[in-house]
Amino acid sequence: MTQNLEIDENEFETLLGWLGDDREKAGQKYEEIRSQLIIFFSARKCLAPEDLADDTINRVTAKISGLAAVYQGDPSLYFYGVAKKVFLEYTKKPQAEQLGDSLFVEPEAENQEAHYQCLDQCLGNLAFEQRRLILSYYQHEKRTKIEARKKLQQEWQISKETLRVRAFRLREILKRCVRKCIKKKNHETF
Amino acid sequence: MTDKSDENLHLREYLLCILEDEAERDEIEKRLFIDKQFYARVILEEDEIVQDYADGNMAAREKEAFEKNFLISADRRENLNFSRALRKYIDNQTAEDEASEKTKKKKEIKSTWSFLFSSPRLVAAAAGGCLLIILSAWAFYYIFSRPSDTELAAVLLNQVYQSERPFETRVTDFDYAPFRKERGDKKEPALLDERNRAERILLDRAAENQTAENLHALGRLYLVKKQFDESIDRLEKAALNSANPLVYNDLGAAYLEKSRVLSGTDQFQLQTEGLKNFKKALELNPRLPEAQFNKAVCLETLNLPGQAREAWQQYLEIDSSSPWSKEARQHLEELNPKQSSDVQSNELETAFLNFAEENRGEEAIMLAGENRELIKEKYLPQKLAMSAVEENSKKKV
Repeated sequence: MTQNLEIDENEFETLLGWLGDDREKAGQKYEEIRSQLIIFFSARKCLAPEDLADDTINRVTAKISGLAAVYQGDPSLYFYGVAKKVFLEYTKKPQAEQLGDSLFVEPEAENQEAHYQCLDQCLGNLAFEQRRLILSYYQHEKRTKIEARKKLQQEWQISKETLRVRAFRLREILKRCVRKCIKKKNHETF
Repeated sequence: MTDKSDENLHLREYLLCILEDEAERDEIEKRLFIDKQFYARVILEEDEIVQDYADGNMAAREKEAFEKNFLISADRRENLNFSRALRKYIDNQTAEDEASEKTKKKKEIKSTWSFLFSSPRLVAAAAGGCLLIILSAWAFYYIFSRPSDTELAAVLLNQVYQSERPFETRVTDFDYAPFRKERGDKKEPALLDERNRAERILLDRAAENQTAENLHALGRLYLVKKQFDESIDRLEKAALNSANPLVYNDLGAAYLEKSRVLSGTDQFQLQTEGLKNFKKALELNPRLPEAQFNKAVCLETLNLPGQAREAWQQYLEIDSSSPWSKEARQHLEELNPKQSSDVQSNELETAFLNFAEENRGEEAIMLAGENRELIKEKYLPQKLAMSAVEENSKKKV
């Protein structure tokens, strides 16, 4: 399914340089592009969207020495163009598996318990107000949820969109924390 | 792109892989890469989809798409684990808060009693208070012999629709009222104050506690008000938490009535969705008269007279004496004389319906295409049948 491209460190550094002058910002841009590619392939029902995203990035990186000098415009668009070609190739090849009736698999109880424990721990690491915001944001359902969120907006004197973004950022912090915690637990198990 | 709410809907459909408009899809994809703010909205929406699923806050169509298409990346699967843990945490927290509130109140009552018995004057006052309580108990008993809020709302709604029901389909908890087939939009019912009062009661009940019973009651209200999307939303949620055949009946009614304001394949899809729900209700209670009645109405709406005839006959086996049975007999009379007992036609109807219910749309179309006689005699919706003929002709070229 994916091309076997060997990418060396120099090419990768050139890629980062093309994405931004500041290395940290370039790294963020890289992650952003990778995420966009995964969404693109997922929405087109491609199995292993992460692999296809990496393949796309590798193809662009392989051409980077020539590309960085001549290409003008947002690099993201270039990745988008390559992704469409990768998708076309994907559709033409016979797939080992097809998208079945359901991708949903009931998670193991042990796994669920581990997530719960880690979440509990990670919530404890948040400041009181942050913890209250994230829990209040996701509490209740439909009508009462809407009212609860309006109350939060009034309390914090922020717009609906700002509240949404804050809750999302806290959620991301928690997710990263839980991921680290789960990794640690798995490491301890073995 | 159209207005914000349409945009959000298209975005959600895009992420669930059910966006049919290819031009819209291409537009979203391009914006995903070039518009940073839009990308931020996309990842926000992704998160909300996962949390909605974990919270059980998803309509059937989205839920099916989620389970079939959405969990295609490892990150999304991990996100679901997180969302489930968050939901569980919040639910436990809410339960703990409620329990500790109860304990706190108990302690307050206990300390109040201790205080009261510490002094003779207070004991005397307490005795007087007890007498008052006994007298109040009589009034309290009287109050509790009145109907509950939900029952009261049902009584009010029956009053509103006692002279004429809003549509042909039967909604549970409503007494018989005739249905008048008239063209054009019907006028609002006369007793609007009663209906508004019922709505206020049911909204308050649902706001306090989103039980399946409260959601069902609210879904039923929206149904008779012909606010079909709101009705389907509440009834889908009620169905998630209960195996109540009445809920499935009313959900089927919502889909069927909603289909009447649409056309083409959308209409057909909603009608088959309605039929699925009536059948589900009958699986749970094979003698539920509302579901059997509605199944027959639905089959007639789908232009399947053979199946409809059978369904009306089955209805009369359940109910042969009520005013509803009179309507059933009228339907049978209207269906009976014209069509011959064509075994082949009945088999074709059954096969077509099975394909449609199992979402095997292509096979349903092929079947219709192969049977032009079926089309001539108008057994199938005309539009669908003609498109099936065209489809079949294209394939043969």
